[in-house]
Amino acid sequence: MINFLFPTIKNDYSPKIFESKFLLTLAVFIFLFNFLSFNYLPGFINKVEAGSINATDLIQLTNESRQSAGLVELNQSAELTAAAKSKSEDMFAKGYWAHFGPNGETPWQFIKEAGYIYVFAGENLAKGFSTSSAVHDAWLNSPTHKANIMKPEFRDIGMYVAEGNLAGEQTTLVVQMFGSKTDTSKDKVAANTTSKASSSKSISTSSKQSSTSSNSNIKDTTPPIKPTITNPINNGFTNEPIIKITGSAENGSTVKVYLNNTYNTEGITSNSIYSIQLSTELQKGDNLIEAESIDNSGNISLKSDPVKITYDTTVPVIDTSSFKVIDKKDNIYTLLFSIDEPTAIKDITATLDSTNLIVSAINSTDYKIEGVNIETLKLVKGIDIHAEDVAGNKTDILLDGVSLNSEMEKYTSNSVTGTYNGFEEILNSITNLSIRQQINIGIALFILMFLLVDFIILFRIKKLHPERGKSALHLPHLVLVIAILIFSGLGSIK
Amino acid sequence: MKIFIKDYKRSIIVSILCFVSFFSLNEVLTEKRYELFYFFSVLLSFLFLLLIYFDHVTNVKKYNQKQIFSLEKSYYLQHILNHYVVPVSLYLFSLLFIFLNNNFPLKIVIFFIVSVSLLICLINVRSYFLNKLTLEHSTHSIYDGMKLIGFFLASNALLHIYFNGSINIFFELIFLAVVTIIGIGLIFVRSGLYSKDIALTVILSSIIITLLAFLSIKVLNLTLVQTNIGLLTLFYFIVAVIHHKIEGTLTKKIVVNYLMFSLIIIALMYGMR
Repeated sequence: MINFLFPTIKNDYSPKIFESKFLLTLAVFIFLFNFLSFNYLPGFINKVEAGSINATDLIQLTNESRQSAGLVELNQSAELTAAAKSKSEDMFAKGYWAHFGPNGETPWQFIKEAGYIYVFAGENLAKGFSTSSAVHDAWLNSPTHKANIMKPEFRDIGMYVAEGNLAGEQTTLVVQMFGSKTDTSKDKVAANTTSKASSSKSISTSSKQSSTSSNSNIKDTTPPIKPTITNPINNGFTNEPIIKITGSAENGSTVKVYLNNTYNTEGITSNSIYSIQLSTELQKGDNLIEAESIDNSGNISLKSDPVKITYDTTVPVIDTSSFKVIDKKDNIYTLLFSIDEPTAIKDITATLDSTNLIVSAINSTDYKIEGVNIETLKLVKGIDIHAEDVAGNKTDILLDGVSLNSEMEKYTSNSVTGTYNGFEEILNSITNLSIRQQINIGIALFILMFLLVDFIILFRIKKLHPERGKSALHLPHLVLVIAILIFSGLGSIK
Repeated sequence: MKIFIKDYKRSIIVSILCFVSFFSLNEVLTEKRYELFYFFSVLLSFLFLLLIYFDHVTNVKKYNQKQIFSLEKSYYLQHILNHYVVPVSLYLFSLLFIFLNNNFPLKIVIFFIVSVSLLICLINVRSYFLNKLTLEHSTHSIYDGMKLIGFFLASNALLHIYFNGSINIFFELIFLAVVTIIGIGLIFVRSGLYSKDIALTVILSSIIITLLAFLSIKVLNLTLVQTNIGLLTLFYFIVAVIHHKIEGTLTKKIVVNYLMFSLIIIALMYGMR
């Protein structure tokens, strides 16, 4: 065994462990193990904790990069987050990993379906990474992805991290969507594709050309085209009980609107556009709206695609008792708090003495406020917090500065100062890997350990030179490769 | 051990100072104080160059190695070039690495590797002047390991510059070819070998490396990290073959051995996707 593992006189200072036969066996074993892991072994072996790639961290990293380039920070958008979620679910369901789906699905489709009316939009994708910083680094190291991150026109961002089985491979997908709602007269898109150039998006509506016949004996039996509903948008939210339905239909036809499968109201189409107010109030929760068009000859079209709208009047409730300090650097604190909201929060701001603080979502209920200066807090009444849900319900509270101050001071007395969380980051990079990746790293470290022992023994007995000095090259090469594999990851981006 | 520390005290201090300077410069960069980073990078690089120069002067005077200049010029060059080009390149490329990378854990590993490499390199330089040539002889293959680290840092910097859109692919490949020529050329210089065949070998190696870089970036659309590992592994293989060829120990068995080790690296990369 000693002769197998270590350089000795008996093995002429060439341990069997570093001979070609064993190295080949080991390489075949690693290939086989990984192949089986990807295809046949239980999913948990490949499972990377999606939590280790954090949407909040990625948004923060994106904003830090933008800030250092002198660009405005992006606001987290509930609609873009929903679009990113839909995109990731679609990719898992249809087994593709690309900007454009197998049936021609475009990124813009998901953005629009989520109710985000964009002027500029963009998408970045990543898969197979195990840390947020590795994903962000890979994007920054690609000019096209970096261009999206640094695009001055963007104002909003939505991120979704999902873990699942993509075409037989257990992996983590990261979808990053950017957008800007300003200037709706233009309709430009910035697609980040590796092979396809950015394309301009034009919306074309197809409508049947209505024709009037001079011969009254010829009866029009062609039914009108199926009407479309453009407002409200599908899967949208509202806090208005009575809403206006708008869309397109055959010019001059009568459009009947159905609310929850019951006839509600009707109106006449002008210039192929209709706009009709509902005659009754929406019911609390989900509502289904459909429209059909009837032409002058009485032909009835098919019903439009149903549009789901959620009627919500519940204002977000900020839990004032949930505030706690989670981090501190000098006089600057980071606070955590919860919001009770059945739908989703669209906009949240926190102001301290007319300075906007950074607020970001940790999950669907918990948020963090960064940059709270304790000295400033002592001079004012407190922190103003404003939250608005996707339906438009708003809430404003003043978080009492006195009680918050005592929380902060308590944190100071309990906190351990002088620790550097960078080393925690190193540990996290390893623990965040999947079991398969950890086994691979384990094997590499095993080889590394014996290489090091081999090197030390040969150095001490002055046998390192010449032909046995292979470890002098193997060692730095393996160390570098292991470090890159652990800390940068080998994920791909699109 | 005491004698070792006494003889190599300066080498140990310099490498520790290098580690501290890397760490401090990274902290400056984390605080986004770019002007301070540029200022101290230039200052520290200048100090490092001065240190290396005065180390050389001291070594020559203190250890009365003046006869070293009477040696054949090529013999003097083959040592001096490796003694000073390698550590200076390592230091400068490390500063570029700090500036261009955001990955803190990877930086820590690089700081450690570079500092250890500098320590071994500076010990070798000192032992060369101390006439402890057995030590230098037994560890000189470590220079090839350092060239590997230097190539990794240089190719990483070049890839970052290219991926950031600062240079086009043509200049990227030219610079990469130059780095490869210097790295591999130094191996031959170290052994005092100069010939037409060697020049051809160096040029051929740089063509192979640039070809792989072009394929990785333009055809396979690999990420920066994937390209970096691929280039590193190819450079490792070329350096290994040249190293053994120079030592006269190149056999089919040795080539297969390095191929197998490269295969393990590829297998690990496959598993780390």
